[in-house]
Amino acid sequence: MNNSRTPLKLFKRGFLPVGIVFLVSLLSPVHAENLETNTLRGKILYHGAIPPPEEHIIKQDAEVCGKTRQIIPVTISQDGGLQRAVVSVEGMNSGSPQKRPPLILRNDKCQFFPDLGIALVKQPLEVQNLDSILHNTHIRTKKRAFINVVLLPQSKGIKKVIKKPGPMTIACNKHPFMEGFIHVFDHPYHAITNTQGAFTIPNLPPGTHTLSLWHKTLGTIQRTVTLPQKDGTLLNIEFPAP
Amino acid sequence: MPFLSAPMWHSNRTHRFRLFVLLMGLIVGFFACPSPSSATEPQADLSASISRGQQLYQRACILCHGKAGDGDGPDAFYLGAYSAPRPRAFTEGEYKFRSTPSGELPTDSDLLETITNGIPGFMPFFSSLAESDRWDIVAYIKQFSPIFQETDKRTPIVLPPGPLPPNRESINRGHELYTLLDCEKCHSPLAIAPNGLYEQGELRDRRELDILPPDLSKPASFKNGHRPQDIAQSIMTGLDGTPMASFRETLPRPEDIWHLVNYVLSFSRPQ
Ligand code: HEC
Ligand code: HEC
Repeated sequence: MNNSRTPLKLFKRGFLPVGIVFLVSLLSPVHAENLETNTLRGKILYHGAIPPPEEHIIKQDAEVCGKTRQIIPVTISQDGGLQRAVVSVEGMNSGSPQKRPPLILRNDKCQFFPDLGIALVKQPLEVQNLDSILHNTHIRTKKRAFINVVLLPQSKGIKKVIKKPGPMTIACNKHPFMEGFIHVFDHPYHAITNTQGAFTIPNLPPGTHTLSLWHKTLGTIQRTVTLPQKDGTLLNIEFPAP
Repeated sequence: MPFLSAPMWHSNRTHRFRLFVLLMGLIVGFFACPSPSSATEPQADLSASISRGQQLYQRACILCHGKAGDGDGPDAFYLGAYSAPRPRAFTEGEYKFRSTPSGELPTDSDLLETITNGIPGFMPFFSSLAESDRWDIVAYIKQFSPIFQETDKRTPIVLPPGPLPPNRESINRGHELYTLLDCEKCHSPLAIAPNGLYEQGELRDRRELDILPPDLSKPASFKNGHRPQDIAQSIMTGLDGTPMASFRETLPRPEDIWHLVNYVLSFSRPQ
């Protein structure tokens, strides 16, 4: 028996470097020639009228929530890039997504964090209340309640697994000025537009796709896009005024 | 003063509903008697059960719940087209009276119970129909939404051991919880909050229609029943589609539910 050939040594000598190179190649963009071409890059633009902010005078729990609250219906960048729109590719069910840690939804100073979130099917949602007052988190899908639950001050641990894709709205029965949105997907092909209205969705198969674009005030529209995009092109999509 | 109009509105409507329910009862009774009730196993043959259920539905439920199960039957108009509650739209799959947690579907037995007992003031009871007929109707109304088929299990919540005796101590703890959990903001007195948190029109149901919390000193008007275990269930699971939330995860201690129930029932008991 040749002692120098124990599996561990073999591994250290030869397989470890090879393995590392392999792993790195999986992760690194070098490997991804066709990933690169099948990455959808775009920008959502909006040039319609911008509704004025909603001003709420807070009667209940002002000592925690503040005396007033402003809700901004639409935010755009200087060149009209629409912020916080949700972009997703339709018809992309990728089977059963992996287990994920819970999406934490916090009630904090009478605001939801995140107030625009993304979750995957089978992911648990955990609702927490960081405030010193009661909250009543009421989350609804288009047609039904997902959960309507009262939270004691400073409480954690109310969990429920999300089972269906689709948009959900978050409200507080006690504080009507609190609002939030969660979009649930059964695939990884989605993004929220950044401060410039831009988004990136990587790893798409080539071909023609239908994009769904959602904005809390402007509604939902659909557009088609064909991949791969020509080098360096950015897909510009104009969101029509509602 | 908004709260003066509330009880009047209540009694007017209750009156109208009584008449209506009486009428419905007569009609249903008339049709229900000659109905050939099969004594076979309720789930033995699902599609036969569904088609029997459909026939019964068309006689007993269609006027309120509508042909398409969307809650828009011809009589739904008289129930007040612009006030809650409208007859349930079975197409949407959202239910108030459940033994299951917030956001879940009711069990078949929950649906059977609603059909058997009716909804005081809003829907006649159908206990005169044979039980197998009522199961057939359950099978039929579940067809209006794909959600029952898509859902694998519907698991009832488990109530902690109880009820507990309604002694002074228990009622006092119930009172504490009632304040702690903000019940009084919606439920007292005369259904309008004393501090004006909820003014008339501020509480809305899923259709954006005004909804009034019940007068808790009249348990006979509770829609989901008024035995201690019924009230416990309503508070624990909430009435989905209304502002009445679920408190199962909120109660500091499991047995607190029975103290809360004892306090609620103390409104209608001589002190
Ligand atoms: C007089 C009109 C009327 C008739 C007749 C009627 N219903 Fe209803 N039903 C209602 C109303 C109104 C509601 C909603 C009550 C509420 O939301 O508080 C309702 C609610 C329901 C619900 C929902 C309970 C829940 O948990 O949310 C079921 C199930 C139901 N009805 C079944 C039936 C069936 C089955 C029949 C026939 C056997 C029937 N109803 C006949 C008026 C009626
Ligand atoms: C945000 C307002 C709100 C709060 C807070 C609230 N309720 Fe309710 N409650 C309602 C409304 C609205 C209804 C009537 C729903 C309906 O008729 O469909 C209701 C119904 C009920 C019912 C009757 C159920 C039935 O069978 O008809 C009971 C009992 C009840 N609430 C108890 C409580 C208790 C106890 C608390 C505190 C732990 C509480 N509620 C907190 C709004 C509220």
